Amino acid sequence: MWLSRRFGFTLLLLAAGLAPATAGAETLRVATEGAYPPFNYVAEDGSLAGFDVDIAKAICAEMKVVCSYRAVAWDGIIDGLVAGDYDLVVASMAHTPERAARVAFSDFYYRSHSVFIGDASQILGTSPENLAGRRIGVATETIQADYLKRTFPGLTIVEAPDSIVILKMLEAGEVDVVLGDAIQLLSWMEAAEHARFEYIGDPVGDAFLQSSARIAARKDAGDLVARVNEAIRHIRLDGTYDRINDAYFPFSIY
Amino acid sequence: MPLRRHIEEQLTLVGAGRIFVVLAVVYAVAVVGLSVGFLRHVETGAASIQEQRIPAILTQNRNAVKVERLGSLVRSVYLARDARIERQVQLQVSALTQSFSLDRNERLSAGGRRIAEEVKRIVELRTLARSSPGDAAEEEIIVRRAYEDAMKAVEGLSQYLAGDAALAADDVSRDIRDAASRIRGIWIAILAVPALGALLLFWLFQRHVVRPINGTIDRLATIGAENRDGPPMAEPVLGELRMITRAVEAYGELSAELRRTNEALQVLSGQDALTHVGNRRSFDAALDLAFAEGARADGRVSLLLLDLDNFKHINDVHGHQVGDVCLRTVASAIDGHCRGTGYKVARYGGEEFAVILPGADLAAAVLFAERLRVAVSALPVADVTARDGLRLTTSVGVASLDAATGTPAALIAAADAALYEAKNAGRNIVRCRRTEPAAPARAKSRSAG
Repeated sequence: MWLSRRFGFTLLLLAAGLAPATAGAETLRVATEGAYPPFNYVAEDGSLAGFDVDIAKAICAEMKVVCSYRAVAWDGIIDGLVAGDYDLVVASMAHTPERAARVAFSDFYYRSHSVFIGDASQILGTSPENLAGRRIGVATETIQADYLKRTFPGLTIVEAPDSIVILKMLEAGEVDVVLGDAIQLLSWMEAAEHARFEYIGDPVGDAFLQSSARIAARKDAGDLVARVNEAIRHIRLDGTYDRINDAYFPFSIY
Repeated sequence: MPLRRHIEEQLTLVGAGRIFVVLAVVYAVAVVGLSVGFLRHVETGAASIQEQRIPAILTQNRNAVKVERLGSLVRSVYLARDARIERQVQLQVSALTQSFSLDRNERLSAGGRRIAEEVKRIVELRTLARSSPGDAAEEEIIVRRAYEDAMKAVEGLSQYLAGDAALAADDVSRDIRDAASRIRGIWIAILAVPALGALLLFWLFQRHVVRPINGTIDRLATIGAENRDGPPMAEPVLGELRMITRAVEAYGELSAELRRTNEALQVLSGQDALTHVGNRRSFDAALDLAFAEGARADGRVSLLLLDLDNFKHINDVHGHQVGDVCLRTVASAIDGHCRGTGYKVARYGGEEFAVILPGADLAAAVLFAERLRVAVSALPVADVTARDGLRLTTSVGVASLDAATGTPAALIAAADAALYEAKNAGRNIVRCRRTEPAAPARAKSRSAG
């Protein structure tokens, strides 16, 4: 009796020791912007949805970790990551040297190019002459904003906190053209009420804007980035990526 | 030539072993170096295939799918006849063809631009037709032409991508096949060298180690034989074996020399070959010596002559081998009695033995003769005596002389005469002869009957 009680106690200790390893599967906190449809947005029921969110879920499943998701304003999203508020940012974030100095980037999970949109009957081209006197809208802290400030220093540039706001401003006539991601703008323009807007000119040829979206992690996150890369590779190969892609876009954006 | 001779002179088993070890080590190092270098090369090739060429093929593949998609979009825009769908498709075509610029493929980008332009034209024509209806048939022909041009461009891109991807895939598979066949070739070479080396080693071992050793062993076996006039052995190449062969040859020579010397010595020595007591030669010498020494000491020399009785009969009936056994047994018995006495026994003739007794007078000689006679008659000669009732006896003639005045010849003659008397007296008996006419006063001998 004494022996079995002691044995039971030992088992209890063992179970207690093993508990964190078995019961506590690794959890990761994922942040996205929630204002960049169709890549990430807040659905009508209040949950986060979009291509980025589905990719994040697929990657979490592939890594066999439990993930929680939250929306974070774009202009503070890197600060929050560095501060440790969350572990991964999956928010169509393009790789730039400035960002790479603060966070670690995964391999890209889609590529895109930037393009101007506007009322084609009003705006004839994208040369500085064509754009002179026009209000150019762009989401703040984006590669497109950086590009505009570098390339068209003399023009009127209007920055909005996110893509939803700037597109509303375009619709309301508060800006004349918007520079943004071609894929993202495609979805917006497909809506019937945006029929008067067209792609203006060719896509911006600047290599800086032919960007690739990547997942960001803290630099001290150990092998997390390597695991994310492996997961991206896997979902690319097993068809998961293509299924997600086809749900949002008419062609592959990888 | 001098170098070759030098090598042949210096080459030893140990040296050959060292050369072999050095060769093996050099070969192993070379193989490891070669393998590592080559495998690294293969690894680099595999890495380039994995990191560059397969992604390139996948990119072609992805673009092929996009072009196919483009084809269906062109068909949609042509068939739609719906402003909203036409606009959506046109936007999608724009975004899609623009995305070709990401791959930095000029041909693809140009093709994409052309298709986008044709699609734009189709949409413009349809829009125009809707706002101001004109000749529907003529409009349709123009739209149809734009559509066909667009589809032709799609087809061109599709073929370009398929051919390119197929070519790239073929390149990759050929590279992999080449690498595999090179690996196979190198491994065959790596394995063949030790295999051939082992064969060569076996042959060398057979020729330069086993054969010389066997030859030497054969040579050793002939050493005991009388006739060893076989062909002289070839000199082994390896130093140690050459030394052994030379030693064996020298040993054989020495052995033959020894045997010849032995035969000569046998003759020269005073030993009788059959009975191992003194022979006639040593008898003569010993008798001369006895007289010489006896004369100095003013002493006497006595002599016994023993003749085995009926020995011819023994030889005839039992054979010479039994006769030889009898002679050896008798000689051994007499020799045994002489041991420690200073008396000297020798085989005097066929079945005759002589015993020289330096310093002994006639009486002592007769006494010793009698002892020998009894001893001989009691000898068990092999098992022949018991089986066939054969019994050895001897007749003995005894003589004694003053060494100073007598001569060996006179002593022998006297002893011979006494032996003759003994034979006549019926054998197995001792007879003596007194032969000292010059000094009867000193005579102490008496007949011993």
